[in-house]
Amino acid sequence: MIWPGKAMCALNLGFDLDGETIWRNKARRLAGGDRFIKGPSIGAYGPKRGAARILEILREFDFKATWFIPAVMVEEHSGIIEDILADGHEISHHGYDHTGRYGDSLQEQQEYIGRCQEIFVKYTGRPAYGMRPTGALLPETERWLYGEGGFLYSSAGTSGEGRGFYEVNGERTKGIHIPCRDEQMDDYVQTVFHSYPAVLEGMPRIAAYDVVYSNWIREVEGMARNGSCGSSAFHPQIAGTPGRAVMLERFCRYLADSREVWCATCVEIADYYRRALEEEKDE
Amino acid sequence: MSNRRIWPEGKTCALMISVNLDAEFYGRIFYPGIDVNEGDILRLGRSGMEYGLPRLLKTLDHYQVKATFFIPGEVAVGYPEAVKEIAWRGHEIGCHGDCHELLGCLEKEAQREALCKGRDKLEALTGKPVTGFRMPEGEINEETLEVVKELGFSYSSSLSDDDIPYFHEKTGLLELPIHWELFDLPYFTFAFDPPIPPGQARSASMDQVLKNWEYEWQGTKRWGTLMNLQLDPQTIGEQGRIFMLERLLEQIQADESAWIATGEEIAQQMGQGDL
Repeated sequence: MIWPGKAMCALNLGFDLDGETIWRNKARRLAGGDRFIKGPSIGAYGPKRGAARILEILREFDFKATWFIPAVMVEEHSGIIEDILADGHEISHHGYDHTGRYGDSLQEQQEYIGRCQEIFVKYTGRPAYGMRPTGALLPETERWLYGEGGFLYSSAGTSGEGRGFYEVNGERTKGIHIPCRDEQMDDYVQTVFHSYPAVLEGMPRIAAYDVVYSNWIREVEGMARNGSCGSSAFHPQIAGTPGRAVMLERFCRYLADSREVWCATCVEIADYYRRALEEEKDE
Repeated sequence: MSNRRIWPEGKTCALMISVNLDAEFYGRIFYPGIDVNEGDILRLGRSGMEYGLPRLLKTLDHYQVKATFFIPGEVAVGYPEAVKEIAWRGHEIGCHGDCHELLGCLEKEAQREALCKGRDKLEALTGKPVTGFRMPEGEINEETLEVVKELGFSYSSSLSDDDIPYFHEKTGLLELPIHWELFDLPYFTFAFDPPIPPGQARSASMDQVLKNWEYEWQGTKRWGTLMNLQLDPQTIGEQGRIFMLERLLEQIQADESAWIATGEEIAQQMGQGDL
């Protein structure tokens, strides 16, 4: 697969603007947790400060990113959503409140996803084109999503290396698969920390930024060898803090200088990939 | 620049060196409410006070910087001479609860009692007013900040939703934000029984943690923010690790762009509307 500009791979800078959701969800399980403010303040950094700093960096390199945003964060932080859209970025589906509760049947899951789409339409003027789910989707829901549901791509976390059309139990859909490898490309996994509740489980050390950075580079090198596309799960509450923003800026400079990488939004990658696959079929 | 601000003395960013003087109460960061008077926890806590603290104080003097020590009241009871020494050397002393309580799980009145007790023990020992508050690591709620405000503290340094000082919306309380990646203890502390950290991850690389902090310092300069370093003498004051603070302070002082201030000094500036 050759990508635009003769690039060897396509990377989407994906940002999960989870804000307070993940922290509220963790705290809720503890006594008094619905009133905790420390953990949620770590998340609030994303929409309050981190996102704006990331926008500043992306402008510097003229990169367009995809922002996966729980719909409740769109409602609560509409100001930064406007700024993201004003810079020409894509906003994509990331559930309502980052719980795994999508419903137990096709109909319930369709309704849940649809309710989020209504919020997107209300605040951004259009529905999301793609999906990074935060919980388990039924196979029939996925077949619907990337069929008559009209979603153009799947960029789920921990989603393997599948290429081209997204498959559900071996059955091809019309959506494009843009994998996201959290072990490498998720800065939250590498460098988040909190003591109560323990985040991550067992409280592993915050990783060395230099090691995190070189893993990003190795993954992009692997994508180029493989001709594949992929997305990151960078979190503005992590990536937007001063030290890690320096690291993100360095990564953007690497991407801008590389001839091997086409940096694009998920919807651009999906659109290009689909047309390339359809042309192949016609030949 | 999205949030560049003008710091005093023509500086373009700020450094606050804070010390969480938890002694053995550090165990409650990992296990709230645990008995800290036995085993590995007590041994490491004591060793931080016995060896780490003098080394840290000497280093701060050497670089002529003043720090803010947040101290649980019971630590002042257990180590009175050490706490007097800190005050005598001109460092600020702030409240860090009484026994490192999990404040977010207490009723408002119990929270007030813990902070009053903690503060009174510090003030009785040093004879100086305590004006700063840092939450014992764990959780707090809006009532905690109300109590802090009602008790007349001039600032809190507890939350992570910003990287410059700001006034908390509901209480009007000044907040000097902190971030875990700038706290030495979670990178290094280790115990067998109980397991600390709970998953017993191996200690981090000192060189790499210093490198993380250098990234943070670069970011602090680049975006004009407050770098709020959190240290525990158990960690940074250990013989092998003290070089991390030395290297960092040398870089920051050579650069001259940072206003190095205590919490109290930042609060005074904010009160004057200078920031």
